[in-house]
Amino acid sequence: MNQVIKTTGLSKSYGKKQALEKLDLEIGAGRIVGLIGPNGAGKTTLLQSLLGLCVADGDIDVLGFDPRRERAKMLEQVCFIADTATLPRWMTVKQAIAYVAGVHPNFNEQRARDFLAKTKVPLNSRIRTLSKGMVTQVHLALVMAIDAKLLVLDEPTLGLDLLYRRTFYDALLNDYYDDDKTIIITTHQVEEIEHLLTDVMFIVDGDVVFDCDLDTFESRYRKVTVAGEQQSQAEALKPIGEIRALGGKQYIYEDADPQALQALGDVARASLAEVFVAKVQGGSQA
Amino acid sequence: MNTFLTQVKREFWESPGQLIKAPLWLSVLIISISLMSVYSLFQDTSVSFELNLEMDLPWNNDSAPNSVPKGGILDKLVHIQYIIYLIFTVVAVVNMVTYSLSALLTDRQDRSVLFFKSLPVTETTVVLVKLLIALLIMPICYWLGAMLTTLVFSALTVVVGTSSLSLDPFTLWSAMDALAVAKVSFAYLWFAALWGLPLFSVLLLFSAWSKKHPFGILLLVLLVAWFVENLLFGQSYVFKILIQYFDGFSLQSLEATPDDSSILAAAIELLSRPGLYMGWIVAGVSLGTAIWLRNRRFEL
Repeated sequence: MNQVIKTTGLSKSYGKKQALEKLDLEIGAGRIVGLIGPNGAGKTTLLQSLLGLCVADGDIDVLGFDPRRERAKMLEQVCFIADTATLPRWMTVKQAIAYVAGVHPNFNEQRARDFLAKTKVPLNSRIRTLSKGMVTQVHLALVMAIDAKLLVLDEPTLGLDLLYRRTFYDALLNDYYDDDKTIIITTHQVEEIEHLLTDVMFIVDGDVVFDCDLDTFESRYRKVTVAGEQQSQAEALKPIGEIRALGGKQYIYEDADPQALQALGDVARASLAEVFVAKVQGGSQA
Repeated sequence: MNTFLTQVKREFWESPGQLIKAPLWLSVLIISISLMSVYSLFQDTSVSFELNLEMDLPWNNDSAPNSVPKGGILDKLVHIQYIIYLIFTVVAVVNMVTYSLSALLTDRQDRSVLFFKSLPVTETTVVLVKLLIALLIMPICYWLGAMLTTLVFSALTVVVGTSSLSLDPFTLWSAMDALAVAKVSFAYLWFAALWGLPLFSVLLLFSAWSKKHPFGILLLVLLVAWFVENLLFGQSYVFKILIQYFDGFSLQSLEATPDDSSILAAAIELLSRPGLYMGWIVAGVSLGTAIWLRNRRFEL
């Protein structure tokens, strides 16, 4: 597997606060990685370090470039969206396309125009006159027209309604992603991207505490709905988390014997959000 | 694909008011006023035109290009052209300063810096393009506006003058010589850019450094420097240097009748001043620091 990102001992602090602590990370080509963590866990700092937006310590290799020294060169192969509300409000859509075409060697202007032709976004409008959903479409059109090897999305659908969020991810998966491209996504709406991901990482207090591909995740984590009388048996199997539900409890298990779980009640796949809460909080969920 | 050129275009898209609309509207305004003034001047030659033209204009001299009789209408008309350039220069300087102070701040304030930083453009390019705009492109836009205005003014003068006073149009046009004034102004623009490099580099540094109110911070820094220096040394060296810097721009070679040889002499005079190179060192340090800040700090 070709490595797209490799960090060794990646550290970053803001004053006395350690945002990232000696992080070793490897992400291969063709993966869609979900980076999940609570607020202040260091997700954005990690992405900024990888993109050369902040100066961190340690070894960082992104597509063979050190983002601290070769940021502009690296960005010919890397795209990122840090919240779609960052498009310049004074620009017209046409100017945004012309600008990216003027500075990016791997931008296909026609592709951006074709994508926007399917939307209701007027090319002569200024960004500030568009709705947030339309701005997202413009940003997505710009990004999808760039032939990049790595796409980094930091809370890309923040503030968007459900329909636009769905459209965003559908377009990303159907029109953008292929085996050569790697995508890293951070979002708090984990359930909406779960079906997209090939890998997931949990980041807590500046450290990656969980790193797993989704196939392995599916086989390792189970959720069992247990009726009242069997709850003591269920707890004896040492679940990593529990969810209070009507008429019983649901327990999250890691690497448990499937047959033993089936004897307790209905077994289902545990969602990313459930496992995340169980592993990070370690306690019960409402 | 041309990153530098695209960055320049971006500045025109972002600041059309300062770069295009302001000089254009100023031209329209001055041409309208000129039209009325020229008409009154020729309608009543005794009209009072007692403007004080003895100010320190770069090209101020007793005999203007293609000198015309002092005190005559033509002399006044030539001086009006100088005043037009002066008005454009004042408005340009105000815009150059305000542009420089906001150039590296506004994208951080509206967070669009994250969009621009997602593209393969170095901060060195960003800062240098901003400097180029403030130092050269914006003055050229105003110079073009001033030249257009003086040309229109001259044309109007010829039309009104020949019809009202039966003057020879060629003599009238030659006497005003709008193109000669434009040429001297253009040369001055380049000299001012060379001399102004440290000033605008420092303004860009404050723009990159500030989180808000860069002008206020600049004033505060100067005030603190003045206070501390006066406390310690009984005088302010910073202010002394600043006064010398602003005073030091006057070029003796252009105080006589400006022509090609005096422009060349002015260039040599400017390039032979050690202060110019000291200023460039200040500019280099300021720009380097601004780029360093942009690479490390982008959010407020």
